[in-house]
Amino acid sequence: MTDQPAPEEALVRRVLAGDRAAFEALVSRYHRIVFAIALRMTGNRAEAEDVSQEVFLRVYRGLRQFDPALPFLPWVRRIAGNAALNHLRRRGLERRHAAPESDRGEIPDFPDAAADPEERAARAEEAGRLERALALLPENQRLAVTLKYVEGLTAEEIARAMGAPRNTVKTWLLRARERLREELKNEL
Amino acid sequence: MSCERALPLLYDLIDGDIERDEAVWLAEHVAACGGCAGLLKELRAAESVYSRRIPVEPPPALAARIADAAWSAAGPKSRLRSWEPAAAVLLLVSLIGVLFLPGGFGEAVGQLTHAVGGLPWFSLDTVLDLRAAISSAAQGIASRLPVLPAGVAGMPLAAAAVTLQIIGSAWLLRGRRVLSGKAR
Repeated sequence: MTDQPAPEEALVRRVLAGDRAAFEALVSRYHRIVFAIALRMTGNRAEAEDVSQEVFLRVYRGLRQFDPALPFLPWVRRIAGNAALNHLRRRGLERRHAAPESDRGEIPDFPDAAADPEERAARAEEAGRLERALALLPENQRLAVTLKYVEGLTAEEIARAMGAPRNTVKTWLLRARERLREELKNEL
Repeated sequence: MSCERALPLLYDLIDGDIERDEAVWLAEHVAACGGCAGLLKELRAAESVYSRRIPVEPPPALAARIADAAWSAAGPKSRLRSWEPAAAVLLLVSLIGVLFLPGGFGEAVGQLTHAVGGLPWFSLDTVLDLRAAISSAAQGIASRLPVLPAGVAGMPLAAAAVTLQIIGSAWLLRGRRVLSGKAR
């Protein structure tokens, strides 16, 4: 007998019945996406963890209004995007538009432990450059790019997630990628 | 102008989100334009970097930390506080005891006094004062309504007294736990 993951609908119902293990299963299933969105939007690991926690708090509190028959991921994704944007707005204009801080330029994710030190350093440097370039994008463009590359969403799906028209999202993606290309032109 | 038109279509091509007639036009343009052919290669290389580097791996144990924090902050808590179910059971037992004790209200109150007077968080003097007040009130009611035995008249009063004592004891207990940092 194979262990099939519990369907989301069943997990949601169990969480509503007070089952903590079911809530942990939901977090485990979606925290990668949520954390990636939070990190790419904030550019800071500690803040990304705070945002991720806030997202799942909102998820928990919103479960009673959520229809378990609907797909869960788009709902979580939308909460994550909104939470990240709200966090950035709270953080303030001066930091939002400032150049990345020193800690934001540090290795933004865990390097491959199997890679040799030189390769690891190169990857970390590449990741740092990309991180700094992403931080220069306007929030909507950054979120659209994040959703595209973290989850491989289409413009249509990003439009649904962000509540924006598809053509607007396509424009955001075009401008964002052109800006990234410009910022990284010596690296690509 | 053709190259300007080509740029968004190059991205559409990479995304696999291009109309057939536009794809045909773009293929013809790229075949004839070295600049756009080079740009297409560049965009594909950049795409590979973005796809590889933008996703991130969360820190180990992040899921457990998030679940723990979120559950603690908003996890389902019983609508009843921890002491309330116990209080409800105690009250029910007390009421049943009052109803079925032989000898009327006086004996019932005597039993109650012994029962609740034993609670460590409520002084016996207070219980005895309460008993005297209940007895007096019950006797007063019974004297005005001769058909109603004092025991029956005193039941609601006794129930109220028991409730007050239980809630008071539980409140004191909760206060002590808060002060000692055991309660949230």
